[in-house]
Amino acid sequence: MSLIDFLFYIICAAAVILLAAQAVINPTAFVQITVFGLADGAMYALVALGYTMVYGIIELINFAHGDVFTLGGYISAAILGFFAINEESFSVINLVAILLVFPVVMLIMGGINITIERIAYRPLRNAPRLAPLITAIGMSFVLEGIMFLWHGPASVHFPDILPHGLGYQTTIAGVFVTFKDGFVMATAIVLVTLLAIFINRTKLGKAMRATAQDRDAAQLMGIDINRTIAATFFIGALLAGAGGMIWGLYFNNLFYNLGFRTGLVAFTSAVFGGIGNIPGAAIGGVLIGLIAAYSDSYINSKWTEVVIFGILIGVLVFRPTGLLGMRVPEK
Amino acid sequence: MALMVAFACGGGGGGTGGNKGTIKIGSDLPVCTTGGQSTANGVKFAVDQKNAAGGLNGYTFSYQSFDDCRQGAYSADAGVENVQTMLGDPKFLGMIGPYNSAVAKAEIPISSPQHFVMISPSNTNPCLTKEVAPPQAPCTYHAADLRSGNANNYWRVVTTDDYQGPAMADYMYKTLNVHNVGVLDDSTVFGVGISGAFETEFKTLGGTIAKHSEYQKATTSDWKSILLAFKNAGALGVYVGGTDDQNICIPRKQMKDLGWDVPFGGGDGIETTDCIDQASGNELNINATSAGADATQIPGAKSTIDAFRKAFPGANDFGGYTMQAYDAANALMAAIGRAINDAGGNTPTREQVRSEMAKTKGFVGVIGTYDFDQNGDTNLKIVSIYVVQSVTDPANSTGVCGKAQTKLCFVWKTQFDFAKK
Amino acid sequence: MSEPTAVKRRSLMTRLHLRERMRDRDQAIYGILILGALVFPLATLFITGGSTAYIAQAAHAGTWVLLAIGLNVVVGFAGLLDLGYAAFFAIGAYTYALFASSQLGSSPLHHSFHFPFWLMLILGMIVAATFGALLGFPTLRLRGDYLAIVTLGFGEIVPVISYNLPDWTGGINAIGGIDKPWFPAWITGPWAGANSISIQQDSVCRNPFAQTQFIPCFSFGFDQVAYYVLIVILIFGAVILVTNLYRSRLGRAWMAIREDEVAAAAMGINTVTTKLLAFAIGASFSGFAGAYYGASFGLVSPDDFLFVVSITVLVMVVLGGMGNISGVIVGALVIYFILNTLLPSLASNAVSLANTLGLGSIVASNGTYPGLYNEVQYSQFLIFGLILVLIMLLRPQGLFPSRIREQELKHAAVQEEGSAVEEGVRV
Repeated sequence: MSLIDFLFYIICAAAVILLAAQAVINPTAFVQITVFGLADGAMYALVALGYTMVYGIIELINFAHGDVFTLGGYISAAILGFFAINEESFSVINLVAILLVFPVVMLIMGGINITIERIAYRPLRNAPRLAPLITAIGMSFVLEGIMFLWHGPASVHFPDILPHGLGYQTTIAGVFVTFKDGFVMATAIVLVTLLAIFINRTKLGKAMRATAQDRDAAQLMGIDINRTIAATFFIGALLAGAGGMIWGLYFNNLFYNLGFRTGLVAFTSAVFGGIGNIPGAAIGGVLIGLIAAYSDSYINSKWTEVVIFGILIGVLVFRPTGLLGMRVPEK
Repeated sequence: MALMVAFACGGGGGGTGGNKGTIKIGSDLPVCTTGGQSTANGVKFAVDQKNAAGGLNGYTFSYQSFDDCRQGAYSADAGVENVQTMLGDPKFLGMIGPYNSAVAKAEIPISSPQHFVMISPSNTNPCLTKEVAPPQAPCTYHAADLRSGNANNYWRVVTTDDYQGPAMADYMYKTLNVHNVGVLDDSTVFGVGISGAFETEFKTLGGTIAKHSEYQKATTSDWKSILLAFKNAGALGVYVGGTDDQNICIPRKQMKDLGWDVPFGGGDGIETTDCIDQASGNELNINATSAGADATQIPGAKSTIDAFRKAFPGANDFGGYTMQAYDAANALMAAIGRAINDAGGNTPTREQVRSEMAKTKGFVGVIGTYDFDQNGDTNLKIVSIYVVQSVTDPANSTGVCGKAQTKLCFVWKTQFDFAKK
Repeated sequence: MSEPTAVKRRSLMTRLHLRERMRDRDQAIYGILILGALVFPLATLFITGGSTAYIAQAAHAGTWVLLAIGLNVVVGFAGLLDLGYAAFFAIGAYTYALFASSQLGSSPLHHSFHFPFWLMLILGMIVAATFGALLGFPTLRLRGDYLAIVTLGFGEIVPVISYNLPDWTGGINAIGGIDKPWFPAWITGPWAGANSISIQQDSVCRNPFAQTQFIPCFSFGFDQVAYYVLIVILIFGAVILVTNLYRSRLGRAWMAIREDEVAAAAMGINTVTTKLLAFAIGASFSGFAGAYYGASFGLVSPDDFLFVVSITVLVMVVLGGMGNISGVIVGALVIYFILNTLLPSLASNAVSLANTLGLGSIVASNGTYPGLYNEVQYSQFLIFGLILVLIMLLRPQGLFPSRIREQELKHAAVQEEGSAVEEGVRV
């Protein structure tokens, strides 16, 4: 064990001890904050998966991914407008609307992301490495521009159609839990499980893993690289679209540049878990959500940003491959 | 003269009223927000009216609206660039704005050496013009430093946060009977200032501040952990210092998600349409102050407001600072008029306009009759209190209503007159 | 220099051909730029009748040019991706703002400093370079994109810290009233603008030396022409410096690392030191630009150094042509022009165009349609994004790529076509 590893463990231990102290002082508040952190973290995880998959396969920091996430929220809000939904109390129409809109939005976002990949990234596959990075930034501006043009700079209302109110909240030993919190976590777990099954069990999933490992060798083995990369973007956008809708259902507020910061935090989560590593991104997202919630409550919300990015730098210095660290980002 | 007016109106309202040329008036407002745009409408209305009446002393006014938004929210940098553009064009003799105190703080040091008149319809941070009196926290920057020895070139037609914050503290403590609050600010010049003023007064009254937290728009989208910390610290109310473009009203929505139903108050930054939209589902009983008398409560203002509504019929064209901007623009044009006389009927210099503006006494506007002190502050120290209620006819409220919930509007409650205290 | 001279000579000979070609085009660009820099202020003063607004904008654009030149050393020469360049810009600007204003007087130090601009210009450079070295040291030993991610985090942290330490940095209130550059003497001439009222002995000169009777103080004040002259001189100096660096032994080492780190290390290049030097030198330019920015803008606020700034400079470098100094300058000017002149004026231009074409009906707002002006105003993001994507698709290597890189890319493309297995040089 080197000195650097030793330092890393010391810092981790100190953080855990400080948190444990808080947990002992006021256990109810601690559990409550954990619930909030888990719900936020679940959403970060869904976005982080898209970053990690794309980075894993073409080493591109896809700056537009956060905006794909927000656009998913905007589009689902628009589609929900067609239903006779009831925001006051939960109705059958609400349930039908949610069940219908989820797959529709996911597919739309998948289609949009494939189009983006086809237009902005594929022609640049053999160009200098920074060229697709700039087009990614460009596409990010384009998506934000579309949303800005659509609803302006002010925040956009997302219909509050999940069961909420007195009948759908409960206090377990002083901890306030709503249906929404459970819904967000459950949906995220289902989606991540489906993704894991897809990546590990299907032929396309295998092709994606092979392409990420060695693109040329994969091509020699008869894998259609273009199709595999497009599939990666498609699946990343499925999750981001679902994430956008969940975000809307949970917070009921969206704004056009929400994806910028959410994307940055999600990318941090992906690096935190070991970029390119799919379970790592999910765990990283949840951890970042928790850290943000603890920092908001126990330190001060104004330092949360410093805490998150400080951890990012610390992880990269002490643990360059991330927490799970299976894949090494290398040119 | 009558013929001239008729001709001006027939010609589409402008350009033909004067024969000596045009004088430019700018405005620097965040027109990407509904609050900024409705304020700019007030300036435009005043200028159009003046031109339709034949201009002033042979000159026609030309109005240009500058936008200090960057990425959907106000930016001091954008404001500074706008002022530099105006300063570079000798035809500009004054401007209305800015809207946000942080922008004013950045602009005054550039405009004051050039004696360029700025009249803000909505800046409320006290330190822009004066030092605050104890027990309020002292200014972290100083009016004298901003002007670096130059004569004052900055006026405002609204009163300041050292009245606005205390007014809400009084209202929450005495009228709403809340004696323990959590304070949240958005880390902006305005938000920090007004929440500090609130906190001081609230403590003076005998109240308790459970916790004071800050957030930044860019980094926070979930306020539940912060609100929970307030609740656990024993808060029975929430005061927010901030503006809608920093998402300050989303916490109001999330209070409902927490099942925490306590009074919510804030400054003029939340007396807006966007705030009602952000609070979706929990709009009712948002309490807000505004740093001036309510135009709809002044009998003499009705004809002007009616004329404005005819010219700007949109639902969100009228806002909390439209009439303030209208008064500010008229005060500026009056000063320019006197400066033209000083210059012997020719185009005056910026310094002539500035010194005439400083001499403004008893200017009769829509909101009231204005005198300005040497710092540039108005003698009108009225703070109005508004609350969101469900109304049957939005036109009879302040007109500040939700975009989706058009029947939920800010309704005037009461006012505090600090000039009489 | 233990390198055998024979090797050195041969490498020079082989490059000679390329160099000549490179010089032709780039010399033409430099020529146009110098001519433009001279003609521009006179032309605008003449056309606008003494308005300095455009000159102020040009001087502001100069800050971006300096930033782009500096980032080009990191990204273009050494091939390292820096996503937090604005952090060093902030460090330079705050270094000047803190030590040349009354800010520290109200800080826990209770003493304000007023060091002269010319000294702080150098100091800002050194401080930024030090931070660059400190940040680069632990991460540059690693390979790949670590540096990009660490700089991204650093770039996020620096503005937040300056927000959160209002006692020192003024926080959101920013630091205003920053001292202006001054000379002990001033030579008047045609460069002094129409409203150069402040080029005189005035109160803006808050300098201990100048307050004595012996040295008169001539401040730049708010004269935009003076800043324009200053930034043009600074850029000129920076270009000469960077060009010489590029042609030096260090410049060739950067290029070698950029192309193949393993091979470079095998050739005896100390890759860590070389990369660290690139990173620190790049950061120093940012600090240099920061000090100038603080002096000319007179306001240093945390909002000036957000992630968007880092991204914008990166776009300027990549779009102009990585590694090619003249290309990068053009890239910076083009992007600045698009962002600050073209896009903001688009809405009013669209309205007047529609009016002249007789399409008055689309100008007015009705119902949910906010009117042509607002519609175009709201499309700025969209248009900027489309411009970026289009330029990159049409010219993936940038507007004016370095000739050497262009050759490599062609070579790589041929190789890729030839065999599917061999992955080309992907920089």
